[in-house]
Amino acid sequence: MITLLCRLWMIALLGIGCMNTQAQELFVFTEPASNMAARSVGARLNNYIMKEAGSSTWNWHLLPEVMWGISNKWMMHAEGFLSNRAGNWKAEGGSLYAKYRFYTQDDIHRHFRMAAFGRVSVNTADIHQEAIDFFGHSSGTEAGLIATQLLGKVAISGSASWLHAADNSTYAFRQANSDYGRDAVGYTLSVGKLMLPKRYTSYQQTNVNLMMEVLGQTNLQSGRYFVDLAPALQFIINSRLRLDLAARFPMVATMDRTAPRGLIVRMEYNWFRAY
Amino acid sequence: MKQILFLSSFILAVFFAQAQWQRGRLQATGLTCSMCSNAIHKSLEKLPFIDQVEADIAKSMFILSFKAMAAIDPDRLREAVEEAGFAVGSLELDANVTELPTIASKQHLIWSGFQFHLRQAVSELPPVGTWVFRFQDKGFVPTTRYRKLVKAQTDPCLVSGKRSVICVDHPAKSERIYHIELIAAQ
Repeated sequence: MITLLCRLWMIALLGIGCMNTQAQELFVFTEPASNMAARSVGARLNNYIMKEAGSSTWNWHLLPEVMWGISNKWMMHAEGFLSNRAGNWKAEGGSLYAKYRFYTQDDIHRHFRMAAFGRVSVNTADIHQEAIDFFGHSSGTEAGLIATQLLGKVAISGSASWLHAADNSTYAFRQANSDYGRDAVGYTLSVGKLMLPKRYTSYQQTNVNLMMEVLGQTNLQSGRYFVDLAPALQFIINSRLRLDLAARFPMVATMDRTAPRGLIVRMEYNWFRAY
Repeated sequence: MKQILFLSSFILAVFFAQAQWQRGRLQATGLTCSMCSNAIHKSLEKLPFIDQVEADIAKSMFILSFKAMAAIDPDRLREAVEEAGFAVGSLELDANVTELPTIASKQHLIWSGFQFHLRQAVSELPPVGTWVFRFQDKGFVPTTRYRKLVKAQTDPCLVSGKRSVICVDHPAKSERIYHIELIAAQ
C-alpha cells in the first residue's frame, strides 16, 4: 500500500512537471473543495463512453445533471442515469450529492479550502463488477473529505472517501461474485493548469485548462484495488459554458471491472445568481 | 408622531444623499479564472445600489459605480463576493469632501449613514477633496492581514464591528462601525 501511495505521488509530481506546474480546479472526475456561487444553477450533460473489456462493444452512459449553489457553504448535485449497456436505452436510476465547505483561506490569486461531501445513489442495472461506481453503476452511499489548493493558474486537489455499496434493486451486490466486498475507500489526486488565455482581457475569452487526475479505489473486504489515470482538456466559453473532453484508463488494477477504459464528454452551462 | 417620523426620515435622507460615495474599487481573493470572476461580477451587479461593474479579470478587481441617491452598504458588497464563493481582499470607496466633517473624539466619523472608526489620528486627515475610504474590518482584508491588524491594536470594536465601551456615544448603540484608513485620492 505504501509503495502504491509513493507511486501515486511520483505520478502526480510528474504530471505537474509535464503540465508546467499549473491548472484550475474545475475537475472532470472529482469536485474541488470550492463550491459554485450561491443562488446559482448549473446544468450538465455527462457522456461516459466506455469500452467493454474483452469485447468490441462500447457502452454509453448518459447522465443529465443539475447543480445548485444553496449558499456559499452548501451546494447540491442531482443526476439521472441513462445507459445503453443492456442493449437498448434504459433509465437506470439517479444520485444526489451534497458538499459543505468548512474551511477557507483566501488570498490574492490563491486559496486553500476544505470540504466534506456525501452521495446517495440508486441504480436498478444489473451488478457486473466489484468496483463501486456511483456514476451510473452502483447503488449506495459515499462520504468523504476534499482539500484544494489554488496557486495562481495551478490547482491541486485531493480527496478521500468511504464508499458503501447496496444492492441494485433486485440484483444483490454479491450475486455476481460472493467474494465482492461492499465497502471501499476512494482516493483521488487532481492537478490542473490554466493554459489560455495568457492574459485576461474579457469574459468572452475562451479559457483552456489541462488536467490530470489519479483516481483510486481499494476494497476494504477483498483488498483488491484499481488506480486510474484520467487526462482532460477543458474549454470554458463566455465564462459560463464549459466543455470537458477526457479519457480514463487503468494504471494498476486487481479489481473486477467490465469497462474501465473510455472517453468522457461533458457539457455544462451555468446561470450565476439565477434567483 | 407619524409626521415627526416622516419629517426626521426626510431630513436623514437628505443628509445621506448629500454624503454619497462616488465610486468604489473592490479586489476579490481566492480566484484566478474568468468563470469565478464572472460569478462575482453577476453577484455584485444584483445589488440594488450598483449601477455598473467593470472588471479587471487579471487582477480580480471590480470598479463599482453607484446609482444616484442609493444607500450604499459596504457589508452587502462583502456578502455579494462571499455568496459567489470568494472573499474581499480590499475595498476602497471614494467620496468628495467639500468641507472637513466634524469628527468626534476617539476618531469617529459619520458619513453616508455609517459610523467610521479612523485608524489614523485626526491630525493626519487628508485635505478637502476626494477621500478614499480604505476598509480594514474583518472580511474586507485577507485573513492574514486582518490578524496582524487585530494584534497591532486594542480596539474591541475592530473585532466585533460594533460599537464598544471605548467608542464615543452614538444614538444607535448597536450600530455597525467600520474601521478605515482615509487617504487622499491620487
